[in-house]
Amino acid sequence: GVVPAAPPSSAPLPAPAPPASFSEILRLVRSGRDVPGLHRPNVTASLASPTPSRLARRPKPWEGARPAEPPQPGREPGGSGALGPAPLTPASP
Amino acid sequence: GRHGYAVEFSPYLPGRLACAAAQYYGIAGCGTLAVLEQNEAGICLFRSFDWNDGLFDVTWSENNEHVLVTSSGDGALQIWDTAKPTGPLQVCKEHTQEVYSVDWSQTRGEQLVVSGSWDQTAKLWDPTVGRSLCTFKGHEGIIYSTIWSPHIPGCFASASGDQTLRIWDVKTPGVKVVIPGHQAEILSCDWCKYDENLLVTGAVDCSLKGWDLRNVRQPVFNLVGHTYAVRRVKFSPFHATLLASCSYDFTVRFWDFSKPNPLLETVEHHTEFTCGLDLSLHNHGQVADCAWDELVKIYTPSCLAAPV
Repeated sequence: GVVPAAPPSSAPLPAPAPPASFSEILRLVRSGRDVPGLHRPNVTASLASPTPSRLARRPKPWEGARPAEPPQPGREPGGSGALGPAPLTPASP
Repeated sequence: GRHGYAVEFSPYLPGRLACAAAQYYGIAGCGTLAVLEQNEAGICLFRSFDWNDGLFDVTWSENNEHVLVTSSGDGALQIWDTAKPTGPLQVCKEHTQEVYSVDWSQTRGEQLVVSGSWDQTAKLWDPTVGRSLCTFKGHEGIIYSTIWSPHIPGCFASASGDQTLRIWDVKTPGVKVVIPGHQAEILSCDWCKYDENLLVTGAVDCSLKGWDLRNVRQPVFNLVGHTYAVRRVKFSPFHATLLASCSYDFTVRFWDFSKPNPLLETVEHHTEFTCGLDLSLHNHGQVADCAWDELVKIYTPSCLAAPV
């Protein structure tokens, strides 16, 4: 949920309460002021190789359940899609 | 706090989910990639990674269960390894503005990533190469979403603030099809998993429209019900005519466009803009969503619970 932006009136705060609302953040950024509580890490790439995969790719629910061309009536035989030219990789038989 | 922008189920591990989030709504501060694990005990945080700017989208690798890619407000893509907690493997910074969308191709025989940016371009990447392979220009507005076709290799769709849905083929840098789909910014698109010619768009006009690439002059369906902009749309992995959408009206809705009353169910469990949405490839009917209320929810709505 959204935290109320106004501090409780009974206790004086040493710093402004962190802003919570979208318009409050926008106002601070646009006026060039610091947003309290901002977290700015300095992350860089490790350029390491990925951990080797040990799992086989799982087929999607829509793969293998039907032939390459949808069998509904009204489709052109041979499965030419609306885009015409042959796909990037040869179509599987 | 972190404001959730995108969620995606792992294609390898049924209980694993990634969530891309930004501090302070993505306007200022850093980003966080949270890798979550769901089991009988509930949802726990498996791993969390920080990035220097807000993260707006996440996509899992299709050839390695450890790898995922995020896109960020500083114009970069980050490649992560869930088994290497120290930081990203690689950072690819070429876009000149926020990258709102990143997607890993799902067709066999290729490993390609497409990104879509506020700089109005889409870029094609090979995850093993640090530079983009191609840049696709043509949109006249912010690109909000870039999604690979699950059937046609090398083909992706893009949704834009210029009110068009465009179809691209990686073999040519120029656009293949331009569909002026809405009279409002189009924030999301997705491909039907059971009809290679059918797509859906979700727009600021609160509607979802279906498009058949063989005749794009008018939509094949028009789904109304959301009361604010549609933020993300996803076709069901299991059913040809089922879709899900999330919106700035805080709800997630489920639709069957083959029915005379297509709205099946409205789920209202967030108190802020609902931006992230995904449908599980493993657990039939399971849905994940995330919102600016900093909550990620995983659930099975009753309309998806029983196989059709």
